[in-house]
Amino acid sequence: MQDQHTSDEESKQGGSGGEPLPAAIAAALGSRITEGAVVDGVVHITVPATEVIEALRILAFEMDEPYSHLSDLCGVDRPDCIEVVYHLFRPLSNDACVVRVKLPRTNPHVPTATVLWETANWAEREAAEMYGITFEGHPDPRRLLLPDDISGYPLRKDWEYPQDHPYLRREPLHEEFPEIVGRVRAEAAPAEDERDGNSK
Amino acid sequence: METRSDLRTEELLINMGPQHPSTHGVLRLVLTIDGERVVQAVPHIGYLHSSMEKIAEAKTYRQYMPFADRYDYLNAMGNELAYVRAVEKLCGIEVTPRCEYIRVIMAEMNRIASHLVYFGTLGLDTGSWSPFLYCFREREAIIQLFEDTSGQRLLYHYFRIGGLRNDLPSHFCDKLAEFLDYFPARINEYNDLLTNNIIFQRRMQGIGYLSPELCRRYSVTGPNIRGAGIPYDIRRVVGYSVYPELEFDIPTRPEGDAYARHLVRVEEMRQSVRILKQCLEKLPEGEINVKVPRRLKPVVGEVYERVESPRGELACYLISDGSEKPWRLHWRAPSFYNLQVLPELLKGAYVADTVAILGSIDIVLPDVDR
Repeated sequence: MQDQHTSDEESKQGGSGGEPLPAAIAAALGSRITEGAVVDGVVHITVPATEVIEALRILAFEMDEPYSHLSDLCGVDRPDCIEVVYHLFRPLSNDACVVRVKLPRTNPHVPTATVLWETANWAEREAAEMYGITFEGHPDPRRLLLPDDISGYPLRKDWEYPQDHPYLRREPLHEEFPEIVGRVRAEAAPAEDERDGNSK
Repeated sequence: METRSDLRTEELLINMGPQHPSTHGVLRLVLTIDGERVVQAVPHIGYLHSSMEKIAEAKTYRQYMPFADRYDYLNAMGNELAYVRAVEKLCGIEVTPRCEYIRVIMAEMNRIASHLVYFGTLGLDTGSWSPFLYCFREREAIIQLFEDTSGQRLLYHYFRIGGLRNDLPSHFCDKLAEFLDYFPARINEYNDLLTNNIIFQRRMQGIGYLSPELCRRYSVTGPNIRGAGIPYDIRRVVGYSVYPELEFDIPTRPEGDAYARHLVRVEEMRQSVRILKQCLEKLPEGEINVKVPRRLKPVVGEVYERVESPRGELACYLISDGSEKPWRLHWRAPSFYNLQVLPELLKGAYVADTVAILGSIDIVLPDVDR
């Protein structure tokens, strides 16, 4: 099944362990792939941000057995970069192709995949607000899930809880309502002593 | 809102939700209507966002288990199944056959319970009260079995990494067999009440048309895509757990309208009964748990584990960095993607059909917002 020529080519491109890429994908995408490997039967490829839409288009529409089902799109914060991960499947099949794009931590940009699937619309809005990724050409780049006044990108590893945001207030209750908590504690304290006394 | 120059009559902006009884939670729809027709619908979500993915990064793999229940609360067992399967695949744990069967039994019972809630609430949305009460009577029988097994009625926390919390109670199989005997007749009863009702049929047929092409563009899954004629079911496509050993059909309908999706769900309940009967027959004896290290540290790697939830393709994307906590957990929530297609379905529909179309997609808002 594996074409010797392309698998040689693939090893030159520096696969990150696992088996070499299937010939069809290696042939279709060629030098667009910067990293590629097959792990547990799942094809993993990494492409540059500028090439990703073209690579996805080829995978989804131009191959003999296209990966036309975009199952999911999400961001990942890696130690060295921000990733966008596209999970593609062949329709009615378990053949998976995971496409990644590695982006710099400062000002990450990637073209939007909404031109191929509307699926990507909300998924990209979520990734944008959670990781600070700009999806160029997105038709509706508003926030999706988070409140408008939250600062920073919550799913980044270096994000810190804003102490002053009313939704994310982390002070313990007794600091906010000292009288009530004090009264409840005072009422609860003797009863607890009594119970202890009885049990002894 | 943008204004258009080619207006024929004055367009009206209607705000539906978030506290609207027919939005199945807190969904806000901003509808632009022209007379009785919807011109544009913009869903606003996020009211129930609960940072499920951020929480996962602060918890160990075991500690996250109860959270897996809590976002798609109508399919708690199915969520647990996706999560434990992802963790077990990452750690290379293989569970016992009895455990696999019990998990499938739980997932299928949950599917019936979830479809019953769908059936009942769709009745409410279209103005029929009685089916809701009957559906909840049957759902109660399932919930009671869940309570006997796990001690909980909605959020079970029954599955464990490498097994289950406890074995089935002694009366479980008899009670379930009894339920499976009378339940198909009850489905006929519901159909007489709602599905075969001519008013309901006229109401549901021809609205919310979902074409196969639309399904591809929006990655619609579950009964919605099967209602558009595509037999896409993760239980068959992936064949996870013991599903390859079980016989069941994947009901599809070619019409693609709200009524077709409804019929698919009704038929799915029958198929779940069929699966459950086989599971009870084949349920092997033996251990339910395998030994799992106390400190669970998977190898560096990632899995994307898909299961079929009552709402569609549910996947758990789990990345491990070799520590005790997940580096990243992402839920591919079926409701999230299925809801996205709603504006397309509502274009040109009557305002009165909005709730019926929304009901026919069957979303759970915590699943959308996570």
